[in-house]
Amino acid sequence: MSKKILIVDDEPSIVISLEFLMEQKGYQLEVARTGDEAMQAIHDFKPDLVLLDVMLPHKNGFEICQYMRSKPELADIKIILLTAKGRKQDIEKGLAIGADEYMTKPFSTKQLVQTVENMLKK
Amino acid sequence: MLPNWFIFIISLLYLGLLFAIAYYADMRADQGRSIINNPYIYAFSLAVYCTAWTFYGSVGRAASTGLGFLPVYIGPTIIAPLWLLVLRKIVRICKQQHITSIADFISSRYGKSPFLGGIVAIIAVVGIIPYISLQLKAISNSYGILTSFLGSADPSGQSLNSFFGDTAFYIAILLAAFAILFGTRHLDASERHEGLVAAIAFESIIKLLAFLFVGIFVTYFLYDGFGDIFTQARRLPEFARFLTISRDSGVDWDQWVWITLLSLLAVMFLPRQFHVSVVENVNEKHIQKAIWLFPLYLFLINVFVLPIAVAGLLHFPGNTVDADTFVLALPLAEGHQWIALFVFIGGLSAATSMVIVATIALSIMVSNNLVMPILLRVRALQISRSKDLTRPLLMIRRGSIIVLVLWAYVYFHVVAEYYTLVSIGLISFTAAAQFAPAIIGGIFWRGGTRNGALAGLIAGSLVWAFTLPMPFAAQAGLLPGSIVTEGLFGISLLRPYSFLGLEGLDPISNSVFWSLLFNTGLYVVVSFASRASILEHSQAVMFIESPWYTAREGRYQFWRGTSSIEVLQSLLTRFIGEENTKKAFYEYARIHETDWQQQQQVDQEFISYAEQLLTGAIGAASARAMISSVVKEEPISVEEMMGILNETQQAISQKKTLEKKSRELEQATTELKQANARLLELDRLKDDFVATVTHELRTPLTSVRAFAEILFDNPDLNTDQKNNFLNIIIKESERLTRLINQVLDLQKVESKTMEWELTDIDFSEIVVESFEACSQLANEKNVTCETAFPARIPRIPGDRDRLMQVMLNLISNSIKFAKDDSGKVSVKIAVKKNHLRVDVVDNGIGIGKKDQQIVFEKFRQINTPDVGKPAGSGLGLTIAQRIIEYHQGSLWVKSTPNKGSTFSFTLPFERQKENALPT
Amino acid sequence: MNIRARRLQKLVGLFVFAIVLFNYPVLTIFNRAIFVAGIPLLFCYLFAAWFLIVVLLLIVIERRSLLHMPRNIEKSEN
Repeated sequence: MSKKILIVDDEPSIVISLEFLMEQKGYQLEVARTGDEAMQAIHDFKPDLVLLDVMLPHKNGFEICQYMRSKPELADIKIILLTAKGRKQDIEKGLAIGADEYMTKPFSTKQLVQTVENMLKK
Repeated sequence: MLPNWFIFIISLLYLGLLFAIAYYADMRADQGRSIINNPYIYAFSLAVYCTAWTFYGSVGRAASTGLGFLPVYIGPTIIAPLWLLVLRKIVRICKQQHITSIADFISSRYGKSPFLGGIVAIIAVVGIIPYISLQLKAISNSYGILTSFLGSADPSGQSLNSFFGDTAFYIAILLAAFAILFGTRHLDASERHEGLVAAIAFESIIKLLAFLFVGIFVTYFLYDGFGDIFTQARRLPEFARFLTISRDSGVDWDQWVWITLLSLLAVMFLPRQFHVSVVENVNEKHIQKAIWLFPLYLFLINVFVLPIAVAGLLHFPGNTVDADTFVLALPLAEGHQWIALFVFIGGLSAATSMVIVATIALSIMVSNNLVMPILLRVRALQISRSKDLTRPLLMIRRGSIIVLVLWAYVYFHVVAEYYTLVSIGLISFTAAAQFAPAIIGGIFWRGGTRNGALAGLIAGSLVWAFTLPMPFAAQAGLLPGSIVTEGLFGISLLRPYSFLGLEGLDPISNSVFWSLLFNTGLYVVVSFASRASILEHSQAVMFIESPWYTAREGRYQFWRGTSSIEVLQSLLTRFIGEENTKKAFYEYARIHETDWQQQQQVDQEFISYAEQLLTGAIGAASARAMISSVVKEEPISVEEMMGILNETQQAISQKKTLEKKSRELEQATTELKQANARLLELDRLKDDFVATVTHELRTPLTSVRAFAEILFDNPDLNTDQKNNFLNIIIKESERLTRLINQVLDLQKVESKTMEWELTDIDFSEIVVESFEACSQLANEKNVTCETAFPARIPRIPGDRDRLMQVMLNLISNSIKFAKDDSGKVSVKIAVKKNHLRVDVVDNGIGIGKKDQQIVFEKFRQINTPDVGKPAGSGLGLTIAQRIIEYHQGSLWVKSTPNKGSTFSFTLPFERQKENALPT
Repeated sequence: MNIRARRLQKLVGLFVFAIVLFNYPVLTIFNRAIFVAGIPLLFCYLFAAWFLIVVLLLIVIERRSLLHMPRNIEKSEN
């Protein structure tokens, strides 16, 4: 059974590129475009990993991340924050609230795929 | 019925308690842990104003004059707000100059004149002794009532048998003992007595509680509240006098006004008030709290006076009981002995506190301003040569206390029995009011001179003596009665109650008016007519400018002298003792960082310091005399004095300027801080802006990079997918370019570096062209476009390309948000009086109320979940708004959600001159 | 603006206000044999005005401590 990845982003082009990259590696995918959709999908889809954008409508990525880390049953889900917010304090904040990895946009596709594979192997 | 011995023991126990409190407070003061350094204690100590007169006499006066008892308490309430102006200044002067009595204050201000000090002391003693004896009378009376009420045929207690007389005597002796013990413990430059103040404050609390207690008892237990008492009182024949102020009620407007004026002066210048409020003041900040606490105290102690008076009249019809004793008689008549006992203790507090403070205050004046100057002058006594004068000084102080108390006691037996409590009190008030012109003039008017003060005081007190005590003595049979009715020597102008033919005023108002008129008038006139000596000048400056002097500068003197340290040391040792002298010299050395023991010659400042120490012990005038006897002095010439005066004046004005400058500086600092905060905020905004721009740039860049890498890594993708991805790269690159252009545009507009090309343009052309440019977008979304123009549109000045940019932005936005299939966008142009009005209307989803402002902010896009993320940078509307603003118009939006939005802007026909073309 | 000077001005104002309240001719307005809840009008007026003055003095003097700014009370006045 292949691992499941939830892509959360509101930029259609970026979603398309991420879908392509993850499908290529054979992961099962689900896409959410807003914070609310993401919250729903986390419970329904039960992903193994979330690629999470920070600037989202309704609820931002930080809030979602915080929420996930406050629920023991969601503790196993890996979170990669994927965001254009590149300031040092943003990165520190992301890691502090429980993200496993913080990648700044624009990211290297190879590095992203590598990171996802490493995380899901463990 | 309470037995005599029991009441006597209770009185003794109460006085014992006072001794204990005073002893404890003194002990704490010696340990440096003062219990009276507290604004509440200070305010309560001021309530020594309320004597037995208040406690018993107010009710009596209320019974005979209705509300006529009130002005005595309203006066202090009126003056209290001015205490920060007047009282604080007096306190500061006294601290700077080591002044310890009202006589010393006046003497000191007017060139340290011993004669003036003596006059003030005499007026004070003559004026206050009857008042003290009144308190003894009250104690005796209340004692009599308590022991004989119901058991005696004469419940008013006016006939005193020998035992009661003795009781008052014992109490007088005890009070004298208290005054000696706690008022003359040591000779101190500050003359502060913490034990005394603590005991007085305690007594003020007790008398207030006792009076409130009996007031509540009478009003709410004997009767059913205020309303009930006054309702029942309607059957009294004298009822009308409680309702209004009128001549029939025994108090008219003249009296009301004059007594108010009199008491507002008395509350500051009665010797005992001056003593507690000025001499015993620990910290001038305490005055602030007293400003509202003291009037509140007076309010509370007066609320129940009229109800008690009315209740007394209802209970004891036909004048069977003296109204002055109603507070005691009412509980006794109702069989509440214990309440009566408590009231008795309250009255005792009121009387004893007054006796104690008044005698101490008077004894300081008697010893420093009467006895000392005389002893120093009588060379035969050789007093200035004797080795140790501290003991004789204390003996004089103690002796004068005993003499004063005994004098008051004798007066009480000989004279005071003829009068009611209030009338004697007001006589003393009028005497104290004589000090007002010299003091108030002294602290605010530089022109007041010694001769002026002397003339005013003597004239005022003579008029007082002639118009008040004298006719009283005549009524008592001590002088022929014809003086009152026909005038002195039969001259009708010299009738005391109608002085100089002034008819129609009551005796008190008559006396207040004439004595203060003569006093103030002569003070002013003689001051103008006489010249001040150099010392008077220097003291006047020191008093009037006191807020600007520190204690050290206050020592500045207008003469030069030199002396040796030994001479001064031995002089001071004789008057204030060896230990105190050494302590004071060490203190001086500590402040000035010198070693006084090493010095042989001392300078003017040190001499002045020594003089002030001496002033605290023996008064300003005597101190001046003693110092000049041991110091070689050369008085300075008038020119020199004027020079010094000018210098001081300059120093003072510099100080004032400095204070003003420092206030301005403070203000500037605050403004700077605010500006800095604004700058920081701007900086933060800019930081945010850069972060947001970066974010907005990174987003399309991400897609470009991701798809470029995908295409590079996957050369075997099918053509469709390849084209699709390449298309995305192109679109995102375009978005990136647009964004960069817009950021640059915005930067240009905001930094005013945008180059504008203004021409006369036909705006309808712009609209048409914009629609053409957007036609493809409109077709894609199947949106209908329409325009509505008037036939003639005036040309307007504007930058064609920029206005085109605005229209394109608005129209493309409207198309984007218009309804999907039946979308409609219309542009209307209207010609107004001096501007064009353009509306861009769509029938789209609309904008919520709170978002209507936000849309114009940078990078603020409204995310609507149904539509998804809007394409665009989030800068378009911001730039459009800036462009319209440049054209001196305004851009705004009106919208109803789900119905559509209307973006409107105006463009004036002519540009205003102020905003001329940018350079 | 200097707080101390302003307070002094307010206090002088209250002094004048008290003079007006407690004197002829304002008192004559209330100088009638009318009863308020059984209590003579003039009696009511005098004590009400008195209380008003006390409250106003309290507000002017203690304003800063009433506004919960305890830190500045001690050093601000001299």
